[in-house]
Order: sequence, then C-alpha cells, then structure tokens
Amino acid sequence: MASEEIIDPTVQHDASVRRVLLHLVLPFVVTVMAVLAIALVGINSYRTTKEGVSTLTHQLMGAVQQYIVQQVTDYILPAATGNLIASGMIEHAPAQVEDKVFYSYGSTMLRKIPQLQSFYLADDEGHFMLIARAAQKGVQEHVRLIEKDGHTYFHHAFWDDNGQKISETEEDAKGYDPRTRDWYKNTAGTDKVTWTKPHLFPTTSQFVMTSSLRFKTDAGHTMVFATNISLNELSSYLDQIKVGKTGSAMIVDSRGLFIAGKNLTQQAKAAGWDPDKMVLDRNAYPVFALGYDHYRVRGVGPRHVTWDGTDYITIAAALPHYSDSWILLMAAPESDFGSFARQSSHQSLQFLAIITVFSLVLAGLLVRQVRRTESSTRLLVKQKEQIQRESSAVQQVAVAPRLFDPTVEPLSLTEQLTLVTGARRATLWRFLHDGAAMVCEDAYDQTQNTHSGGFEMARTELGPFFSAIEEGNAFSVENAAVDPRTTRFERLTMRELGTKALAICPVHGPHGVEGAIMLEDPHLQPHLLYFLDLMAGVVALRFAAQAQLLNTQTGKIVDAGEQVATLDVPAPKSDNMLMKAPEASAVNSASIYPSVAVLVITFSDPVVEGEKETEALIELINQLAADVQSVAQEEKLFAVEVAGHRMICMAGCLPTPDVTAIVRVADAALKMREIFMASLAAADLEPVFTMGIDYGPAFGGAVGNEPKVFNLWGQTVSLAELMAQGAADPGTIQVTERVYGVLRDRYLFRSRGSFFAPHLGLGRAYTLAARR
Amino acid sequence: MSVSQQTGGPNTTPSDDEPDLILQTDAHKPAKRIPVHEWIRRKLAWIGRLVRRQARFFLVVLGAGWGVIFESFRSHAWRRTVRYEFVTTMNNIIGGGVSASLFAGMLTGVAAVSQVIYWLGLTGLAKMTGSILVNVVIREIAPILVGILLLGRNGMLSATELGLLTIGGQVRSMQSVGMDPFLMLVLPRTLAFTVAGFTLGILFSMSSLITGYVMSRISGVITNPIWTFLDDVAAAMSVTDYAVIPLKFIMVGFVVGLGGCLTGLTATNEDSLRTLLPRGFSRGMLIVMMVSVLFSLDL
Amino acid sequence: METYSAGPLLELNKAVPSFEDSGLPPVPFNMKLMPGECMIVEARDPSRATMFADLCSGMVELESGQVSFMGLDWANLQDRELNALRGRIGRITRRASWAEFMPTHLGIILQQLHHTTRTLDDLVAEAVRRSESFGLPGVPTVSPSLLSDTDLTRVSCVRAFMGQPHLLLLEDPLEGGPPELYTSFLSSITEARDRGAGVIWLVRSNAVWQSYRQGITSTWRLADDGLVAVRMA
Repeated sequence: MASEEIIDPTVQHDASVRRVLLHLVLPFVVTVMAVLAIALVGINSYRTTKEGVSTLTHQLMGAVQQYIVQQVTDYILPAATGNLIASGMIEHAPAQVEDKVFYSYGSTMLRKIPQLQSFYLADDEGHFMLIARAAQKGVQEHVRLIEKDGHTYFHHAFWDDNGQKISETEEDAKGYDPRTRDWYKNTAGTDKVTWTKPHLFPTTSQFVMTSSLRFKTDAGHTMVFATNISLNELSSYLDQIKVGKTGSAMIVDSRGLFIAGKNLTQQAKAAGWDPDKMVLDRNAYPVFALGYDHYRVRGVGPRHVTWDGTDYITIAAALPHYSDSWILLMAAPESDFGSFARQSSHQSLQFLAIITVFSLVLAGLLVRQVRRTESSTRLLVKQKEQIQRESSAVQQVAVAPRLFDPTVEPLSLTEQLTLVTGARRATLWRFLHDGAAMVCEDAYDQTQNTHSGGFEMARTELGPFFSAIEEGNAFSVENAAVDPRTTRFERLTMRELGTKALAICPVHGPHGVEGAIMLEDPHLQPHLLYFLDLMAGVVALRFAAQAQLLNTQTGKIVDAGEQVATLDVPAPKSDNMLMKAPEASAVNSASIYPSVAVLVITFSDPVVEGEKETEALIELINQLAADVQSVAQEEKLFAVEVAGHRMICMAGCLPTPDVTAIVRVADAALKMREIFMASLAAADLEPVFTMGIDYGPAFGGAVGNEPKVFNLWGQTVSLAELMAQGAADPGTIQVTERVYGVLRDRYLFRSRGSFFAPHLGLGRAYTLAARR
Repeated sequence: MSVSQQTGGPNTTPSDDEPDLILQTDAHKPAKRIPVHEWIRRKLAWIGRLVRRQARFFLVVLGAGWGVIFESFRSHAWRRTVRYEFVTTMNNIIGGGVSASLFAGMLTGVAAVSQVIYWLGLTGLAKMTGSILVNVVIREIAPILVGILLLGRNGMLSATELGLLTIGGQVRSMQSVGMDPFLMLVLPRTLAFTVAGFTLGILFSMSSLITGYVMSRISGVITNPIWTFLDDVAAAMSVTDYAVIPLKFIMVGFVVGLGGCLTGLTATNEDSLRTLLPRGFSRGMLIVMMVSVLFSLDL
Repeated sequence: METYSAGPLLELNKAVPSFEDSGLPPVPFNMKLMPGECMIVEARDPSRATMFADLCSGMVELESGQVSFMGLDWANLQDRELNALRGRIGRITRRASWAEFMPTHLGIILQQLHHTTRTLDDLVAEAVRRSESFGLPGVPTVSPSLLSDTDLTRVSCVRAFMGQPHLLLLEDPLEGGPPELYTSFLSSITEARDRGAGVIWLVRSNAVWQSYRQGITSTWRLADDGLVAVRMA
C-alpha cells in the first residue's frame, strides 16, 4: 500500500527542498546574477566607449574641417581680397598710371602667391590688360589689347623678375572684346566679388577660376579687375591633406559639380574639359556622393554613412562668404578615429565572454562538488542505518522468546534475515534422514509478509544442489536458473516467486552440514556475511535441539502405537458407519470423551452428464469408500461416519484421554488425501474435497432404540466441519490451533492467519502439509 | 476561531438591577490606578481587535487566494478527487449558467443599443455602437453581471454547501482522515469558478455584441455587414483591453468562488442558513464590485 | 502493506489536550498501542469519544506532551505529510461524515482515491467485497441521506476498513446497529489486526465487546479524570 500512497508521510520533503534550494538553486542564481552583472557592466562600457568614439570622431573631424576650411579660405583669399586691394589702388590712381599700378601689383602677387595665375583689367571702353606667368620660369607675360588701324592686336611683353623686358610680340586679337567675357559680364550690377565657372586656362593648361570685381574709377570709367586662381593648386593641396588616416576632402558646388579635389585633371579629361559635365561621380567617389546626398537633404554638418559594410563619417561644410555656393566635403572611415576604442571594447566583450564561461564552469564545479558531498553524506547515513538495522536485527533475534526451543517456529530469524539482506525470501532448510532429503523449516516472503514451510526436497531430485551445500561453504548464484547446481532447485521453488539470485549459507552442526539458510534475490554486501554466519550458528543450535527432541518423541509415540495395536478388534457392523472399531459397537450409552480427534471430509458435487459418467462416478465413489475403509482400519480409527457429502472420521472415543488418536487421524488424513488425489486424477477430476481436523472433548455415544446408532457431536465436531468448509484450496487439510499445538513437532503446517468465527471467537487456522 | 469569538464574553456588564458589590469594587478600583501606558495599550488592543475583525475576511481571502494559486502549480495537488471536484463544479456552473448568461447578454445588448440609438442616433454617431458596446457593456457591465450571476447561481450554493458541511462536522471528519478541505473543496471549486467566469463572460460579451448588431441593423442605424461591425469593435479595443477584459472575468470568477467557499468554511457553530446566506451574498457582491472598481481605477 | 513494527503504532505521551478545543479533561494522557493490538476505550459520552479519536489523529491542540503515530509526532509534521499520515487511519465516527452532494459509493472510496494511486477498479472491487461482507447487497450509489440508519452504519464500516489502514479508530457501530453486523465487524477487526493494524474501539458500555474479550489487549476508561486503565476481569 505504501507504494500506492501519493505522499509518503515518513519522508520529510522540506529538508530536501531546502537542500536543493541551498545547494543547487542558490549557486546557480548567484552565478547567473554575477554573469548578468558582468555582462551589464561590459555592455555598458562598450556602449559608452562607442559613444565616446563617435563624439571624439566628430570633434576631430570638426577640427580637421575647420582647419581645411581655413586652408581653403587662405588659398582663395588672395584672389578675393586681392581684387579689392587692386581695385582700390586702381580706382584712385590717375588714368595714366593705371597700367603701371596694375602691372606692378600683378607681378608682385604672381611672384609671391603661387596659386594665382593671372590678373585682368578691363574697362567699359574695351581696354584690356593681362598679367600672367609665362611658360618659362621666372618670366612674366604682360598682355595688352591695342588697336591699330581699326584692328585689335594683343601686345605680349615678357619681363623677368628683375624688371627687364626680355622680348615683345604682337598677335592678332581676332576681335577680342573683354566685355563679352563671363568674368566681365557677371559683375554687372554688383560690387561684390563674383566667380566664374572653372575653365581651362590655355596657356598653363590649368583649371582656373576667375574672380572679378567691378568698380568705378575717379575718371568715371567702369572697370573690372579679375584674378585667375588655379584649381590644380587647390586640388593638389586638398590631395595632400590627410583626414584621419585614409580620408580625403573635395570641394563641390551646390549643383554637385566638381570644383577641386583628388584627380582633378582626370575628372576634367573624363568630362571632356567641360566644367559643366564634371559632376560628382558616384562610381569613383561613392562615399562623397553619399555625403553630398546627405547634405542636400539635411544641410551642412557631420553625417554617418555606411558604404560596403564600412562606417564613414562625412562632413559637409559651407565655405565662407566669397563663394556662397561652394561646399567642402570630407569623408573618412570611422575606424580611422575610433579603432583603438573599438579594439578596447571588443577586448572587453571577449573578456566578458571568458569570465562568463569561466564562472559557469566554476558554478558547475561547485554544484558537482556539492552534489558529491551530498551523495557521500547520504551514503554515510545509509551505512549508518544499515549498521543500525543489523544490530537491531541481531537484537531482535536475541530477544525472540524461546529462540532455541525447537517447538517454537523460528519466525524472527527469517524475518530479520530478509530485513537485513533485503532478500525477497529467506528459507531455513534442515537435512532429514541423514541427508537423503531436506525440509523447509520456515520460509518468509517479505513482499507478502507470510511464513510458510514444510516443503520437502529429496536428494534424488537435487543431487548437485545437495552436494554443493554439503561442501560447507557459503556461495551465491547470480542466476540460479543457469547454474548447474541450482537449476532444479530454481525450477521447483524459485520460479513460482520469480526470484533469480540465490545465496546459500550452510548450517554446520556437530555432524557436518545439517541444513542451510537460503536467501532469494538478496542485496548481499560483503560485510553482511558475518551476520549470515551468526544466524547460521543460531540455526545450527536450533537444529541440534530439534534433533534431540525428535528422538525422544518418536520413541514415545511408537510406544503408544504399539499399545493401541495390541487391542483386539472385531469386524465392524454395517449401518451409516463406513467403518467401526469393535469398541464402538460395545458402546451403548452416551458420554463425554475428553480427547477425540475428528476428521471431516467434505466433497463437492462433480458435474455429471449422461448415464455412463454417472456409472463411472458411482464406481469411483465406491472405490473411494473402500479406500477410506482400508485406511481407517490401517490407522485403527474409532469409526467413519458417512452422511451425504460428508465423512466424519473419529478416533480416541475413549473415556480416558488418548494421545495417539490425533496422530492416527492426521496420518489417516494424509493417506486419504494421497489416495483421493490419485484416484480423482485418474478419473480426470479436480480434487473436489477438503478436510478439516479438530481435537478435543466431544459428546458421543449410542442413541436411539435398537439398533442404536453411534453419534458424536460437540464443538470439536463442528469446528472440524468448519475447518473442512473453510479450507483454503480444494484438497487441503485445514486444522485448528489445538491440532497444530499437538502435532507441530511431527507434522509440517502452514499458517493461514487469524480468523474470527461466530460463536467461537478468534482463532488461528493451519494447513497440514506433510509429515516431518 | 472559537477563542477569538469568546474574547468579547468576559467584558459583558452584569445585570443592572442587582449591582454586584464585588464586581463594582473590582471595576472601580483598578480604573483609578490604570497607568497611562496600560490605558494606551488597551485602547490600541481595542483598535487592533476592531480592525482585525473587519479585515479578517479580507485577509483570509488574500491568503487563501495565494494558497490556491500556489497549490495549483504543485503536481501533488491535482489528485483524482481534486480533479473530480473541479470537473463536477465546472460542469455545474457552465452547464447551468450558459443560458442565463446568454439571455442576460442579450438583454444588456438590447438595452445598451437602444440607449445609444436614442442618444446618438440623430447626430450620426450611432455608427459608434460597436465601440460603445465594448467600452460600456463588455468592459464595465459584463464583469459585474457575470459576477452576480455566478454568485447567485453557484457562489451561494457553494457557501451553503460548505457552510452546512462545516457546521455539521463533515469537514472535521474529512480532516480527520487526511482529506484537507482546502485541497479537496476550495482549490478545485475556486479554479472551476475562475474558468467558468471567463467562459461565461466571453459568452455574455458575444451575445450582447451580436444582439447589439442585430438591433442596430433592424433599426437601420447600421448597414454594414457583421464583419465590419466586429472589425469596428476590435478597433475600439485598446491593447490593454485585450488583457484587462479577460482578466476581469477571470478575477471575478476567482473571487466569487473563493469568497463563497471561504464564507462556507469559516462558518461557526453559531451560524445557520439564516446568517450564512446574507453574509455570503453581501460579501460576494462587495468583492465583485471591488474587483470591477479596482480594474477601472487602474485604467 | 508493509507492517509497521518499529515501536508503538500510536503513543500518547503525557499529552494534555486543550480543554477549550476539545472538552477533554486537561490531564496527561498516556497510552501505547502496538501494531496488532486491540484496545477498548469505554467512554459514556459519545462526543467525548469522538474527541478522543480526534486526539489520536492529531486533531486536538495539546497544551503539552505529544501524540505520535507510527513514530511521527503529529505536531512536527508539515501539512502534506500530516494529511498523508492521517490517510492511513480508518475511522468510524458518530459525527456526521457524509457529504450530501457526493454519492455514497464515492464517499466510501474517497479516502483511498485521495491518498493513493490504486486503480478505480481495484477500489470498487474492494468496496463491493466489503459491502457484501457487511450485509449490503452491493455498494450503495444513492445519496447518503437516502440510506437508512442501519445501512449508513454498514457503509461507515465499509469505509473505515477500506484500503489497509494502519490504525482503526472505531466509535462503536454495534450499539444500536443491526445485530448481524457483529460478525462481519469482528472478523474485519481480526483481519486488520492480523495484518498489523492497531485498533482502538470506543464503546459506550461493556456489554458490546464481551464476546470478543479474548481478542482484547487492554481496556481503558475515558472519564473526567482522564484515560484510566481498567483491569480486565
């Protein structure tokens, strides 16, 4: 039932729950929390670093941007401010020195400032002057538009740095009019510096842009002063600038046309030297193009762009006032700035992973250690319990009352044996008839909590098994079915229980091996052998005492039997008696008999169909009756009464107590059973009978008129009847406690338990198995 | 339990017409000598007793509620007997309450829609019938009505059944052979009420929605097909509504079941049906209202 | 069922029950019941007998001392184990113990259903067997309130012996019960004792148990002065 209980109250769960909590959950939770904390800190630092890097990058870019803007401004400034200065100088100079002023200013500037290419001066009357660097180094070319014979010529004069004129040429101007040029026209209506589109300067094959300024001279002429500034120089300058490690910069105008930057010449060539076609090439400068797109959408400022899996920072910055539509674009990979920080955050992430793995491993180890400690503690407790169990078992055996009294069943021995060894069943076997057979003294089945006994095994059946026991050494067999010594034993006794392993401990008496203790399916630990030996010793003592007792008793009973045998008995008469002893006929009055043994046999009706079978059955019954008669005569019973299904056999109907009556009845019962079994089996019938025996005082005597009929009644008879009716199985002999008490030493009994019978109260019933 | 009820006993004053001298002296003398701290202690004790008596049931419900939830996650709790009680009670409540809930839902739907049509019909707002049904009927009225239905049909039955068992001593008999009434009766019944509350609440809502639609369609306020109407209804529900509405039904079922069972189990020998039924009803109503208000406050 | 054999099955060790709680005299109760023993406790007052049975099953608060069953002190047990342990007690009580809303057959097997994993078929088979032995034609399936008083006594007996209880607390079903119950009741007691169960038989008068006297281990009287051993005549 315990296994069927949902909750076993004897097991306290709370301790184990707390233990699991303490030993498993707690370390785990702590580890998880530690890992979480580390992860949190790591991720936080990673984020902070990343943000810092981003900020730093922006700041650096900003600084670089400012620097570049400054540089570009510086680069362009001479052109823009130069215009102002020159125009101011020319404006107030007398008309005749205008050219002087122009040339001296121009030559100075050209000498000092490399990015300036040339200067123009034109007025509203179509006069035009130019100063530029000649192809030859250190030589300047002064050009003036002159009119001769209604035809315009360019007068070229070449001057060296020392102010010496080197040569002079003239060239047809082909109707050149400065007033039609872009640089002149786009100053109309404004007094601010204006710029032309970039164009190729033919003389130096450079890309130039012209800044021009219109002013009025004192003489009332409108003049335009213009400066050509080389974009090649700006480009090579931008080319030189390093933004970060690998970044670069370029200048575009608001329409996305390329102004200056890397590979300006190639760009120009690709665009067929047409500045209008020099748009920002998406294929050549994808990052710049992205940056420009961002600028167009979101205006100036730093932006993050991603191209081809790499993060870039682009900055679009407006260049100062003198070129309102120019934009400085810068682009650099983010990694150029933040690589160190990125590396550090990667490292911290790796570190984090390592710590996590490490702490998990540690936690696992801790848990494992705790569990091992736990299990060893459990083992210790178990061992302690085992020791306690053993000692208590020994004590139980020791305190068992009348332990060495062979008339008391050795119940505690087998019980404790199973308890300590955990065996399914423990049996005590004793050799009989000098080892020709062995009988089971007691067998205790732990699972069913039942004792039984009385089985007998002959040496003829189990030769190898007997000799193995007689060798005198304890042995155990893992699988009794396959071991040659124990196969037959297994088939006979173990198979019904389904046990497999068998341990045998022989019992040594004064005359060699006298029996054995057998344990089925035991959990035998080596240290338990001492316990087995101890028990074997106890059993040996019992066996010795038993042998002694048996010797004396047999003598007594044999004597009694002889006494009875000497009585001379006449043949029975016929009435309802199947058999009647001569002394029964002599009885003619009722009296009380102090010790009557009564055997009641009840038959149940077999199912009969057809005439033939009925005849056969009558024949069988007749045969059985004859058998009963012969047995009764053999055992010298007092009488056998037949009444319907029942047969009542009685013995000991004497006024004085008769000790042998019960023995004779029991023998008769055993013999009858054997005969009945055989006959019924031969007739292919089930054993349809049960037997009951009781022993005690009863009323009996001849009743009625002549011929008087002998009758026996009283509690003994009714109990015997009850025993017969309530027998466990067909073909068994059930006896009362009284019978058991008298015959226990000569016969083998199985206990059936306590029973409550109405009118009789509590009693135990036994099944008579065999003679000892 | 009996001890706490006896605390009031010894303080009862003796009969007025025959003043007992000993009692009088006893009552007067120490009164003058009561130290301040003792006086404060007594007053505090009195306040504490009062509060405890008033809050006792509430605390019992809280504790038992936690117990039900906690135990229901333990495998040992769901034995055959508990499962049997759970299934029986649930079948009882749902099987018996389906028609009542559907009918109540229909009535509520009709009432709500006719109100809406009356108030909003002219302004063309009647197209909002769906959202009004959700916001008024399903979210506010349905939990209360379902709670009252549960309480009246089954909560009171549970309170009476368990109350009679407690008064009769059957509960103690069960305890004496190891059958915990909490595990055997309170846990399965409360959970059955919870499931039933949800089921009946949803049925109630469906029925009121469909009735509302049919009414509006008949009166010509709405011409959309039902799917559009249901879509409107779904659109009118906020994300939290999806959680709060079922939660309300569940909570209402839970507290009605728990309250009923506990009212029954806490009955004393002085109780009878005359005291038990009103107490169970008023407590149940109070709890249903509290749950409804609690959720409405929050959102 | 494994027999409990490690000491007294039930032990009252100077247990002083709380008077407010139980109405039992607040004096120390001392008693030991070994497995397989049958003890008669004579109590005139049926409600006191019920309370004594409650005391044995750990339902009464103690002022001092302890009551232990199968070696476990009731006071030291957690709820779950406490209830499981009580599940090992079979009890016939005079207190109402049949729930109205549960049919009788379910009431009979309820304890086993609750505490064990035995199959329903198994339980029903046992219930039928026991019902028949107690003089019922089968297991009653109507509501307990529809059963006659004698039949209710019978099913109470059936319920008490269901499963294999370790302890039987029997408030005498015989007195006022049907006379034919006697035999089956005593044989059930004997069977249980043979298995190792302890029996406490609470009776109102001596007359009831006289014919079983040979099976009684000890006799006690429960009165205002506590539990007193009575010498068996």
